Amino acid sequence: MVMASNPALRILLIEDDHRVAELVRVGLEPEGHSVTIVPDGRTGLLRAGGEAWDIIIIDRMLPGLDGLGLLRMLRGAGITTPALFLTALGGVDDRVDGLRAGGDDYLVKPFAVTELSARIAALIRRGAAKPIDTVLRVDDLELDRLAREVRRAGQHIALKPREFLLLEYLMRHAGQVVTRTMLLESVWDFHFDPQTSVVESHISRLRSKIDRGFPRELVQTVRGAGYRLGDAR
Amino acid sequence: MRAKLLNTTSVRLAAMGVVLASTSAVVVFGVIYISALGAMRTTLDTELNNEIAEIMVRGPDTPPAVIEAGVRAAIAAPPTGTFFRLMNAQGQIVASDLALPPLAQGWHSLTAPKPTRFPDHIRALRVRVQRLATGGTLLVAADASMLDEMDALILRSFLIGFGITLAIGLAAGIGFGRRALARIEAVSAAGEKIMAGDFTKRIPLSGSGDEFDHLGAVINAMLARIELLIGNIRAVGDEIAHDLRAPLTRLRQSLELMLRERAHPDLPSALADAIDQVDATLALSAGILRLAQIESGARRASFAKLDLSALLDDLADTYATVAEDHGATLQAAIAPELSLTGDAALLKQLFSNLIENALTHAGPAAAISLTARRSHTTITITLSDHGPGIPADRHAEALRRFGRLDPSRSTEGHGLGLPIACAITALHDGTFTLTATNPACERPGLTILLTLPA
Repeated sequence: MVMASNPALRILLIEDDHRVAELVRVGLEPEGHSVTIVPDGRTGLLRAGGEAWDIIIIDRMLPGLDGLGLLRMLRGAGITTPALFLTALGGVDDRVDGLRAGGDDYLVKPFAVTELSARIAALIRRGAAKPIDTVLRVDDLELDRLAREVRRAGQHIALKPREFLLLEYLMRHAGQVVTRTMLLESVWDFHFDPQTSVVESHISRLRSKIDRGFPRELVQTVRGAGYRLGDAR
Repeated sequence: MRAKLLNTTSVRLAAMGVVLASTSAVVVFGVIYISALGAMRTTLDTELNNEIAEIMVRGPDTPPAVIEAGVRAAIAAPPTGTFFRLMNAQGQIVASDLALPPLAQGWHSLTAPKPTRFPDHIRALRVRVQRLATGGTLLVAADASMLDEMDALILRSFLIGFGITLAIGLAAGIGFGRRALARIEAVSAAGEKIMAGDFTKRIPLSGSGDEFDHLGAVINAMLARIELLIGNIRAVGDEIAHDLRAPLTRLRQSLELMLRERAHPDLPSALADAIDQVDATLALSAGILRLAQIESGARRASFAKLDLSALLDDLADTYATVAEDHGATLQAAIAPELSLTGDAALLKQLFSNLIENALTHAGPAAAISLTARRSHTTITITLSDHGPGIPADRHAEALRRFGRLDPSRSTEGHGLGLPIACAITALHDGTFTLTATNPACERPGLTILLTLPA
């Protein structure tokens, strides 16, 4: 799936499994990004510190220098480039360890390239974020974070607390694809895979509240990837 | 791995015992020997002193004539085992009933055959020589054969006793060593069989209740536990293999089909289907890893105080929406301000698993209710449904890994929901019980009763 929504990014991928690395390259290059693959930790550290990148993707287990140590050294050297961990470890504590080492996001292998792509877009957006607005606007939809109010075309819409959080997340990532897992982690703080349609049920409620009766559907399903609020940017 | 008899602890202990027993025997015999002989010698010496006193009636001042008369009278008296010899200043014998070489003043112990002519039956003499005022000497001797015999007797009995002690000690040491060795050999033999893979083998017990039996019983209990655990691992291994095979087999079939029909009518959807099957397999293996991690207890390190009421309200709110889409209802009655020390992420997973389990198994139009309240030092949480329930005799099975009650494994889910919930409860020192909601009904339903320390 091609999502021509992002600016071309310079991506450094530090990954020793060349099949995974190739898959990422093949998945991300059609979006216009350039992907540089480095197969070991030491070289990765040198290139990550010596050149300018938009995002660094690091495998947790690397020959030479492990991913956690590598990122800790980069962060210690004052390099704040967004970093995303890839890992075969799906353990309960592994995610916390990765975030503690300075990682901005964490993705467990195997992953769909669409998931990686969506997370990269979210990270880039976050890196470029202005001080958070108290009022978010997408099209004619308006969300006031302080007053906890939602209006569409001036019409007040009553949302339950969870629906409000869901909409806030979608609006902050307006125009981007957000995956089911991203929503579960950010909106519900679920770090496991529920066996029922938690996200789908809430999206459908939200849709019925903010889109019903309006000519334009804002909450869109992106097949095979997730959801997007508003048009792709 | 045969043990050598001489290397056994019993033989070493026995040898040490023999050395100790011998040492004490030597000491005891020594004391007896010295005191018995000493007492007899003292008796003899007293006798000799008395004889001299009887002859020298006025001590050193006794006139030589009186002394000579006394000696002659004593020699003439019936034999008493006492002998006399009186010599003048020139060394000539005045009166004597005993042939002895000249002896110096003082005490002497003489044994045959050194002195030339002893009376036949006498083998030892005790002698006292007293110098007289005239320059001559008075010699008094007593038969000391008894002393000599006693000496030999005590030495002989000592040697015999010592020999017996040594023999018994060694025999006992070797005997006990053999016995201990035989028991150890039995343990070794059992151990070797077990190492070879026969986990049903046990260490034979003699029934005497001794320390070997005690040790054997402990080892047997350990073996029983190991056998059980290995049995579990084998069963889990079989289950995993079975659970992984099913989706992999389906995947292989669909891939083969795609390959055969080059122009597959709906290739993208077939591929998506294949990915779903791979995902199911991966979810299962992730579930297994997660269960193992929770069971390891490492998460306790990150426990913190948390608001359980808020956590449950939140979940109830989320799942009420999901339930609606399933045509079911979720009612919650959660007491406020319930707090406990635990892992919020895991507790969230625990209650999600329980609610999702009810949503999946209670059937359409299920009425699920979630309650939480404090009772004394515990928090009691119940989750009830009115579905088909689980027969009481299969509750334990439902909580086991892969204890999915449908033997064909065709139902959704990886079958680890309840075992993971149970493991998270155990991690929080809680209890996890399954009961029927309405035991009398045709559809008894399932109530999960959970207690957590507040």
